[in-house]
Amino acid sequence: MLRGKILKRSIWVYHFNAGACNGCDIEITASFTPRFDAERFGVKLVGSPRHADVLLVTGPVTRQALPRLKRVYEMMPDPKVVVAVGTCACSCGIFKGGPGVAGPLDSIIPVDVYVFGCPPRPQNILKGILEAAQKLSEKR
Amino acid sequence: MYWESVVFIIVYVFAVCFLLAGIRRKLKARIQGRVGPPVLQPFYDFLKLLTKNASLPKNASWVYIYAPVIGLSFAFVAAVITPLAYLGPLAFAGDVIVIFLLLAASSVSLILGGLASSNPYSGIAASRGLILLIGMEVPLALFVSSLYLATGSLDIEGIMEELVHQRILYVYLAPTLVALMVYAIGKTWTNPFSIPNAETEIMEGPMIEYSGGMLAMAELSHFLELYVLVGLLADMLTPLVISDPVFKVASVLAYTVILLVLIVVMSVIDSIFARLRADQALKVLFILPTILSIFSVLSLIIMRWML
Repeated sequence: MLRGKILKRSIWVYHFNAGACNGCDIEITASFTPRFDAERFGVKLVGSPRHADVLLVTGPVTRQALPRLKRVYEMMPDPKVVVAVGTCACSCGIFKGGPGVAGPLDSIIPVDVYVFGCPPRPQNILKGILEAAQKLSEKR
Repeated sequence: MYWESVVFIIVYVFAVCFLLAGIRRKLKARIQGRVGPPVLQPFYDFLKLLTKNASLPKNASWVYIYAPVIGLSFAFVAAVITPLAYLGPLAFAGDVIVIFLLLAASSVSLILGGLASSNPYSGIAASRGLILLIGMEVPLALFVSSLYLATGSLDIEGIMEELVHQRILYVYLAPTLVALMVYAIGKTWTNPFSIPNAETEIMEGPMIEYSGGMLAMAELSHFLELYVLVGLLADMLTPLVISDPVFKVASVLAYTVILLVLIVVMSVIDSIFARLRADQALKVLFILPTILSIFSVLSLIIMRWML
């Protein structure tokens, strides 16, 4: 009970680009700027998957990115949740069935929250992160 | 009375070290025009890290695993023997030197732990951290000698007692105190000198491969290190406000207020300065405190010689 409350108050996010066009990445960066101020919810962007609670994945998961994505997911300490950011990560979008594409993301690792949009707005990304935090606190 | 005050110091140290870190984050956010995290955010982060399972690198050695515990214990001992103004049940002769020694030992063990994780980023961070640490040793010797020249003692209680009786010493010691502040900023790796933990260049510094409880211990030892350095300065400044060592409660209150003022100064400096380059930081961190403390030492020697 207490553990769930604490997990909700301090959310460290690691951002992984699995072959995105950088549109979603720019919007993720925007959601951490002073205008949207993710830090007021205790959300922090960290530089190492070993510190992270939430994994933000953008892009349709290319074959090049696949082994790295698996490794990053394994490096994250439990409990952990995954957020798919953007249409590409959610469903592969226009890249579906492409020769270099191994995705979509949820066929590779379990995805907890989907944030649609091409690219999604920063408000939506923040909402996705907070929903992920809710899921995190319910996880055992 | 003795054991009560020891317990009080331990509780105070833990409460205040989290609060200081929280106030720093909040102030930095306010200066940038943000709402900022709650003041208790570092405490939440700490608890969360304790509840997480650690994930270890494949080739983690025993140095990597035990370094956070060792670093935390050094920092904890340093924090507990630092007197709260005139309340110092664990103070002993020569504790100024021992506190600086313990702080250096704590930083070195954390850096070595990072180095043992065999991550290239923490390798760079470790080499930068050690370079800064070595660069700050010469000014450190000068602060301690100027404090000794001024007050004739090497324990904090003795220094404070002498400062109470001879306020004029503050005139001579002012450059040393400024130099000690620069040292504190450099040692805690805050902004103009945030070379070893530069987020945008080398991610999180030497702690990059740590997770869960080990990261929590490393974070706590950084908070304690900040508390000790600012607390030493506050100890030196308390005799300006409280003129008699008998007023223990009032002196602890004054000490806390001075701590908060110093933290505000540090956060403002943290948010208005950009990061220096590694070689520039070493130069500034070596030359500025050295010149300031040489100034103090020389003026004290001349003062002694004239009398």
